[in-house]
Amino acid sequence: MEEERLKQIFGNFNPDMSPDYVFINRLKNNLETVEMIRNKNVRLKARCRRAVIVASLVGIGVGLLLAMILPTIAAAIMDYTRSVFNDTFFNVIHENSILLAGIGIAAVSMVVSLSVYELTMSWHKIDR
Amino acid sequence: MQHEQFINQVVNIRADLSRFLIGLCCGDSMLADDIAQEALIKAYLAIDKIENQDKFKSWVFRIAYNTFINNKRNRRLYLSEDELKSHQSRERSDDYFRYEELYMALNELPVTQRSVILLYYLQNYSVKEIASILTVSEDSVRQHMTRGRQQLKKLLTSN
Repeated sequence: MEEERLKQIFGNFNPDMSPDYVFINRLKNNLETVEMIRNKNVRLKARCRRAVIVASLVGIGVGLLLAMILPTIAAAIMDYTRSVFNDTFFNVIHENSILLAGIGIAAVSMVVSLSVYELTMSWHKIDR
Repeated sequence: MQHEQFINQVVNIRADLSRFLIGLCCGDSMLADDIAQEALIKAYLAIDKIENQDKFKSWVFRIAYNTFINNKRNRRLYLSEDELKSHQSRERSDDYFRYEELYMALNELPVTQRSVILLYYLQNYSVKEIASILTVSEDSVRQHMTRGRQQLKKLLTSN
């Protein structure tokens, strides 16, 4: 008996709700916004990928170029330290000039890579 | 699934979804609408994950239930007790008073019992389907149903 009453109560439960067209229009607007953000994210990802590729290529190129002149750079460091200084610290630099030149080349390549990445990202503006 | 197809499917289930959420929100139809919108956006974003298109409705109900739970948790976190009460009373429409007795009784039930009762009596879902929507076992659904039904009868009789 009480079970029937519950079924009747819920069967008659028909509360006022916003009109269908209002609800669906609001949903359509929300979905359009979602689509817009999704498309922007896709474009942003493509842009980032492009920037990473360009930055990597430029970084590797600069690194290779500098590596080719590594002996010249190392010799220049040796000559300079030999001619100017004569204490222990600069003797260490003198003896490790190739290693130091290598570290310098790596640092320069990295800085160039990062700069190119930033530049590439700023060149391709996001479509509005 | 295309945008238009999704909208068409939503049109078919909209009334049932809103009735379920209004019951779950104990008559707060504005909150129910917000939760429905949020749930449908989540459903749209995850539409590729649906295994069986025939179960679209119960799948959306599951998302709506989870969205309601999250919303309830967030409201408790960010609004004080007084703010919650004033927020609820401000949004009561004339329609609220038509079902006031039922809403007050539903409000006394824990959320899971309320959901089980609404899905069973309002949507005519089977125990198995309810278990799948609420992601609980069938035994648990039966337990919640028995307890909820008893409490609801008591509350409605006393009112």
